[in-house]
Amino acid sequence: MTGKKIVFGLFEDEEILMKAVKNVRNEGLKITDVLTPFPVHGLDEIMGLRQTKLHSAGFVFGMTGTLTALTFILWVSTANYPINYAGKPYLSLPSWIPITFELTVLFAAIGMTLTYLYLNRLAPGMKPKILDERITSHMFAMTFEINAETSENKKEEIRNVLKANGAVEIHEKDWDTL
Amino acid sequence: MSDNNKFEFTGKQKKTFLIMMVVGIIAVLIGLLAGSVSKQRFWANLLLESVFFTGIAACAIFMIAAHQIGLAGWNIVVRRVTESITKFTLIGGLFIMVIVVGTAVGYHDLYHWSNNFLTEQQVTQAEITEYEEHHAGGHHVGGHETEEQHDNGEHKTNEHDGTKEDHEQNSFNTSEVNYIFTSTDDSTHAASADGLVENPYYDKILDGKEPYLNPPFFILRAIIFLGLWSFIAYKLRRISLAEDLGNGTDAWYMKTKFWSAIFLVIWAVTSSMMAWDWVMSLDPHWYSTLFGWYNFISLWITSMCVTVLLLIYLKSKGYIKEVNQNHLHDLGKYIFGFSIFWTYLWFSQFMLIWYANIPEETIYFLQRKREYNPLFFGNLIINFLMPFLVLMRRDAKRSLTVLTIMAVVLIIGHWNDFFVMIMPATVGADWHISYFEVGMFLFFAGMFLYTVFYQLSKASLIAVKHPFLKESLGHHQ
Repeated sequence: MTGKKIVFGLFEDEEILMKAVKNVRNEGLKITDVLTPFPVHGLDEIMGLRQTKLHSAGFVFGMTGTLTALTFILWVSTANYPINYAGKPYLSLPSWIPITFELTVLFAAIGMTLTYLYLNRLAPGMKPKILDERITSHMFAMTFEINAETSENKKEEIRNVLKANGAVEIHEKDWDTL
Repeated sequence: MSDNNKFEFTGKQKKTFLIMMVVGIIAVLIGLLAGSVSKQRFWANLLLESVFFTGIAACAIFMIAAHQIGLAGWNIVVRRVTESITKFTLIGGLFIMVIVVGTAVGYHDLYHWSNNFLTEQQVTQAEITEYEEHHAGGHHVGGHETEEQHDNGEHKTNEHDGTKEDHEQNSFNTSEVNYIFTSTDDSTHAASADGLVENPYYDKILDGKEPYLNPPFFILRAIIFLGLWSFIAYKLRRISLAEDLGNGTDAWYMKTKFWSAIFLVIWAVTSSMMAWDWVMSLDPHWYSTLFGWYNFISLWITSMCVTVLLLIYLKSKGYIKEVNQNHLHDLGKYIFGFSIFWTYLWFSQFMLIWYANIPEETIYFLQRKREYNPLFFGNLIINFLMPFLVLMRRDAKRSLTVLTIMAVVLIIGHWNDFFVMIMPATVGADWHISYFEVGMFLFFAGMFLYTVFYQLSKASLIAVKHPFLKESLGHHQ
């Protein structure tokens, strides 16, 4: 048990939400996340999110695929089971490129998909943490992470800010029991 | 819309472009008059630059048409620049016509298939003598092995072992094919009753391709391609300009859509055929099915690089503030993606030929690898590795500096790509990249930029009444 809790406000409209995000950030509060039922253009910039690192993961997965393909074909066609085809040398790079390319794409695609699913708690066997069912259909949530040490003053401040910026409901939930 | 979109073609810019053209002409004249530049090299360079710059302009029409049919909204703010580029199609096309017509009236320097002599089985002795006189004594590369090459009966079987690096390309191909397909008997010069003898240079392959590769049809095709492209470029531009003045937008939009759809159908066929005609037929014994797409993609990337450079230039002068990083990011993605597609085509073409290992096909790559080694491999490094590694990151595609550098690099890279396609078949091992090549490039670049800037100055830089303008202004990613 980490004692991690989530305070979140529910919004009914994306325009109100966008304004709220701007205001809350201006007041110096750190927003943990904003949850929307559909992609909202420009929200990431307003929230000041850094770029996802999924791309870098994709590059690493891709390189793994490239190296796997090259080393495997190299081993098979020069050491393990060399076959002479068309009188070409055993080590003929051009004929390996298509497989290498395929494996690069395969590793990158599958690796990125699994990473994405894992990070979003959607991977097989994982239970997604849904703060409120309505976030998946028509409402927007702005969340703040707090813990046992967070002072009452701070909590009160968050609640007030949410209310002042148009949140229709404010809840607090225990992260671990979600 | 702000008034910063009335582009002024300043006297300074005009002067710069005119100086580029004059310097180019002077370089070409020096080369020709001093005698250090062969006729072959002149024609090959003229072909290279006309195909390159006309292709850039024609691909800009494709850019407009494809986005129109794809109902794209993001590119509307970029569109006037693309439109201005399309207007070079006609001017570049005139230079292509000079080459094409020149081929038919007896300049056999580029397209040796156009020589009727090679496709006749029975000829007179006088014609043979004439042909030999014309082609012996150093067509362009010394010609020290032509005697042996031309003697049909004594071919060596080791034509492919790489010992003869600098023979004259035309006769090399001819004799090689004779060896493979026809010459089993030695009765070549036996005169028949009507004074005709068997043509020792008879080229069965060229004879077979004659229904397609013959000068009248060649000229007709060029007229059709260039005529259609220029006409549609003119139409699209006129409709777009009329839209600025008109009231309702629907009618203009539908008209653009109509001409775009027609252009795409035409382009699907003509883009491939132009590459067969103007570039691939330089090596008439060799063929590759995907050559047309390969050429098209190469030109399209260049076209987008030119668009990016123009946009960044205009922005630096304070125009089109509406074009922001999001639009350039999209163009950057295109450049990145199609650079990889270009590599895919390059490699597909190479690997199949490498695998099959048929001499008449491998000769194409063999010659390039031997005689154009740095350019041949540099091609892959510049046009694949550089954009792949540099433009992969999002930040890179959104940085004006990186985009500018990559656009310049890729324009040079794809110019080199065409150089490696055209030069081996024309000047062979005797290639240069010196003042003459640079001069020819400068002349065309000056002419191209003058046309584009002139067109830019003729109308607002933003199509103010386009129905998708708002979408384009708010483009975001």
